[in-house]
Amino acid sequence: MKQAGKRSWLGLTSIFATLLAFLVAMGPVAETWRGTINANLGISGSRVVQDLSSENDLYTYKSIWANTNELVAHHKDIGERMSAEGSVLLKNDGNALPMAGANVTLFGMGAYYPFYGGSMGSSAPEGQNVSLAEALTQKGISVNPKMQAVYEAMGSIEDEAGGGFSGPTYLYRPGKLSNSFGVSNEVSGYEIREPSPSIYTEVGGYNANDNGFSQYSDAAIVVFSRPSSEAADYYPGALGIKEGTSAGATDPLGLDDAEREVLALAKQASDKIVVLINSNSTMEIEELKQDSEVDAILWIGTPGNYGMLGVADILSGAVSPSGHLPDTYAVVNANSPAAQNFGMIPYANQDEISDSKGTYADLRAGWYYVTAESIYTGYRYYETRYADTVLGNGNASSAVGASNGSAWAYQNEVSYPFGYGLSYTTFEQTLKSVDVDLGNRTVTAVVNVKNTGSVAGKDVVQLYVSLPYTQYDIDNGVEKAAIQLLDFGKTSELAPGADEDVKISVDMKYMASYDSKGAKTYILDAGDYYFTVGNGAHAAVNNVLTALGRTGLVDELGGSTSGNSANVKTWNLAALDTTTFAFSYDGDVPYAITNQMDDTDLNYWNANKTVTYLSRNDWAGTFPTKIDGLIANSEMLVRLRNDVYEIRHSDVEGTVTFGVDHGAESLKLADLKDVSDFDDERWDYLLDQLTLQDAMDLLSRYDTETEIPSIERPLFPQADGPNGFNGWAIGGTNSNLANRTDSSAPCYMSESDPNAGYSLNTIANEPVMAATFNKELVDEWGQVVGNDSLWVRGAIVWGNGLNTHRLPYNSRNHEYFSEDAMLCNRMGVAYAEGAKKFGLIMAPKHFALNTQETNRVGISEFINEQTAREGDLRAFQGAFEDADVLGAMTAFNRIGCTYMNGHVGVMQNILRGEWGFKGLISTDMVNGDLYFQVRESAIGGVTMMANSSDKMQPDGAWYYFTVDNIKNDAVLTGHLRENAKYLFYAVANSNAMNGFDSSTRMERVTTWWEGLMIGAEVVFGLLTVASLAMYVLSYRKKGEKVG
Amino acid sequence: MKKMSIGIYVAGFALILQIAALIVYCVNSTNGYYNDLRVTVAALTVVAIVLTAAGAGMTLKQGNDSMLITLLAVAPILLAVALAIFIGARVETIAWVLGSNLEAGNATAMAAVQQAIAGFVVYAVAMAATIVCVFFKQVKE
Repeated sequence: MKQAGKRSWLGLTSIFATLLAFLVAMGPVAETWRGTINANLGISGSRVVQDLSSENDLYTYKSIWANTNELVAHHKDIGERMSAEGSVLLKNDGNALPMAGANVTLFGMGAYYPFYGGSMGSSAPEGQNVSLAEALTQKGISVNPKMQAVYEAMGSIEDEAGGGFSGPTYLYRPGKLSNSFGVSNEVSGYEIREPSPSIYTEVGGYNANDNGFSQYSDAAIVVFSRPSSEAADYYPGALGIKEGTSAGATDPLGLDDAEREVLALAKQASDKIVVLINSNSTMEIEELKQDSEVDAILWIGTPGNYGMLGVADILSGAVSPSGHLPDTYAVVNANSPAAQNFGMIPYANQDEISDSKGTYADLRAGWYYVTAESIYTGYRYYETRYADTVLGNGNASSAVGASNGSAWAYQNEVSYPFGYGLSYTTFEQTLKSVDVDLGNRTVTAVVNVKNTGSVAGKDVVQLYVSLPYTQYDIDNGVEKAAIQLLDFGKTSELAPGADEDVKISVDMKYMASYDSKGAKTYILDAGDYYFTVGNGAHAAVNNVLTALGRTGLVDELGGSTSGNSANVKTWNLAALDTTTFAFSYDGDVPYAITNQMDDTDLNYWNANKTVTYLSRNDWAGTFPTKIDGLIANSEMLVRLRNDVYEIRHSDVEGTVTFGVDHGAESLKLADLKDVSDFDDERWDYLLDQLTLQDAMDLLSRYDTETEIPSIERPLFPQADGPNGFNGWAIGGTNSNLANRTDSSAPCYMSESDPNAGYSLNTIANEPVMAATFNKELVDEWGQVVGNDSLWVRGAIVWGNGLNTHRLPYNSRNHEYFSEDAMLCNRMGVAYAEGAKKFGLIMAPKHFALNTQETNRVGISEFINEQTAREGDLRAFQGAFEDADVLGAMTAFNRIGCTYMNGHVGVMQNILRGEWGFKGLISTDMVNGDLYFQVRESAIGGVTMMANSSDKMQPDGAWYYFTVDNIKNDAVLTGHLRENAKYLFYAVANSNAMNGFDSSTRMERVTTWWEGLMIGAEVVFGLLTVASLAMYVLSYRKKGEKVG
Repeated sequence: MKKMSIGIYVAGFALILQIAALIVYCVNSTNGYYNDLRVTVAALTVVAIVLTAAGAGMTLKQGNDSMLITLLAVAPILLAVALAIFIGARVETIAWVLGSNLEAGNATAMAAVQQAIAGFVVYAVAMAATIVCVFFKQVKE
């Protein structure tokens, strides 16, 4: 019994000591995740202490909304208008649309379970969605309730094989893609999941004798859906279809038999068939185009919370459609040159890439793809090849890449061209003038638009240029599209008979071609330049071909046509110009533009494989084939192993100043609030105060909610994504901020605010925004997000998705605008400028060349410099160079063999140098400790890494990143200091400083859960001591020796 | 060898659980999805195993369990620290896999996370079993 007593005290000691040890050991874990925990609990870990005697206006940026009701109302309004202008009418035989007051039946699971946003990334908050049926009803169109009941019954059936931790999945709702954040040698096919009507009776209770068809027969609306998602891709052809599913489909983006059966059932319900395409990846819909029983096709993308109201506006006729396609609808997506090199392509010597640090998978180094298509993606391929068939150039009519396998012909390859869109009215566009001012590097066009129909509506003016393709180009490997979009404008709503002049002025740098071999800079060739306008790229190229006197043209629908040569203006350049665009002028002095990406071209590496880039000089001979079996040679292995920069321990390049104590003369970041002069000497004074450890933490720990005592840096919360503050409710964050605690503060919200739970990522995805071709509307959405940021106090949105759509198979296309670099560019500028008016850092992502999701972390994208500069880089260029954004998020991928963040040529010389970018740069989520290297990131100019764990431990991936190890490396520490300056400059010139002046201090507060942990530690500590004491005493009472 | 009491059997069970915890941790940390074996976790667990095994051996040899129960009282503390570090290394991916759809459909990730959670459970049970041992007699008097 006595022994039992002693054991009990020791046992209790063990229990309490164990719990104490566990809590103490969990302390660093909790500290690491403090910001995340607080964000999820809706609390803040710090508070602002303000000198109330300050007379400064602390709020540089003020919201246009007086209360959250106005905020919500504005979201709903612009959400509806975005889709009303961004849905694209592709077919409208016999004026099937509009159909005000109609009684309709909806068909297809997508009609009731459409994709409102991305399945992952830029999703739409489910509880706020306005469904198609609700929207139609609101707009006076009645919906067949019996079929609604059938679809909802089927849609509620859960998939017993799915779900799990992520919640239920549903057996008959449109299929979703399989996501992976890892890397893999496997790919997953897609299952369309549309149930055949043959199971409607059994599963959904469908009754053919009581289906409501007769009462709701004015039209049958069929919805075909395909998801969009981060971390997933579609794959071309049969490979892309999950085995044993989706019978009858030849491609995941084509229709399967079940969908055709749904269409057949719809034809039983009504003589008028309207198809809605609910997808951001261009589907293969030639069969719908050719089907004479399908009367109308409306592309709606993913419309966000309120976009269905805009769709209903079009269907009801309240709004005349004015959207135009942001991507080419090809007959067979897999036949494009880009599709030949896409997806999962492993290095042939994967295992050789592995080293002592980790496997090729750990290094994120096992895969690659080659953009052998050169500049010919999207319409630049289809329209250029078409032009060459007409012109008889380059074997364009050869069988290579042809859908019919015999001879390439435009009408067999394109269903609907880029930029195409119909209206309920007709417009006449007259290109009145084009003024080319080479001295000022601008082209200015004036276009008169007249509504010649009987319905009011808006019209889009698309300004295109056709550049000369010369012998110089052929000799130097410079490619030229037969037509390319320069810029665009949109009219106001024009009443029938009304007209308006639309003026478009564009920087000529966007029509210069990059010559990486001859001039090694941007050039303008000698020759004739043709400027024109048209309803899409195809109409535009037809205008040019007509101006050249060519005949035998085909229109968008495959019929015989001729272009409008009157709408073509010509400008001639007498001699090759290699100097006008050889410099950028964004800094104090001209910055020379020259090759920065030689090493991203596969041919640079002398590997076992070379690439022949597609050339319009010989379509047949250069059409890409899959480049597989690439062996990484020894030089490539060095880059692929991510171990490039060698830290120096006895530097000869001087020292870098850190940690100066300015005493009473110290500056705080708030002292430089709104200081837009990057060269103001106070920046250096402030940076002198920064310790090296602070500078290292800024880059490596990525906690934007950590105070930096040496300069009193405030928190500046951040959010994804392109459709607004993703997942943020208005009242969900930062409860200790002034606008939560001080009713006199701007954007004040009480705890009982009825809109506190309202989520802000409401808008349609970017392709719909692009399809509006309305920069003012996208600017307005940018302003909405900017205002949102003032209410939620989030200073950064990784929201301007500016990668181009290389292929429809990239399932993340929903977060990017278009296949066309200039449409991306101009919309990127509009979005950023709108947000910037309210001090929001609208940061473009994913810089750059992130054009597929498969093995995106670390995949090597091999690309030549012209393709990069006139494609993805041009898409980003405007936001940085013209809109002067203050933030950027980099891409996961490599360019060539090099870690994106460490590619000095692109990150430093193009982004910071040529484009003069002075803002902060964040990596994407650090996924792969051995790939995301902190030292290379610093050298590349990254200011913050999306890292959430301690990798600086002796056995961590960034073990080398300690003060002692790097303090003598002036290059690395110099970059750290410079990067900190970019970060501070961006923050100081953003609304993160709203509510701050030099008297403001940040104080850390102990949150309730931290208090709980501390309390538990104290209690367990005391109990441990007490139990131990009792254990010892129990021995002493008996004079025993404790043992 | 003295007559064994129930406590020694529980200690043996705890020892097996500790070894199992170590194995699960090592496998989980080298399974391809994770590649982050931390010496600290492994070392703390090995020391706990050694303490338990040594104590049991001495008890059986000497017939006095005072050393064993003292060592058993220390072992769970080491396991607790090891578990905390193990959890700290898995929080991020558990959040990805279970708290978001970031890894939806990634069977490898799901298996790795489930294995990690199983490891947490084994550590916790090993800790509990080791503590329970302290309350029992190890040898018959």
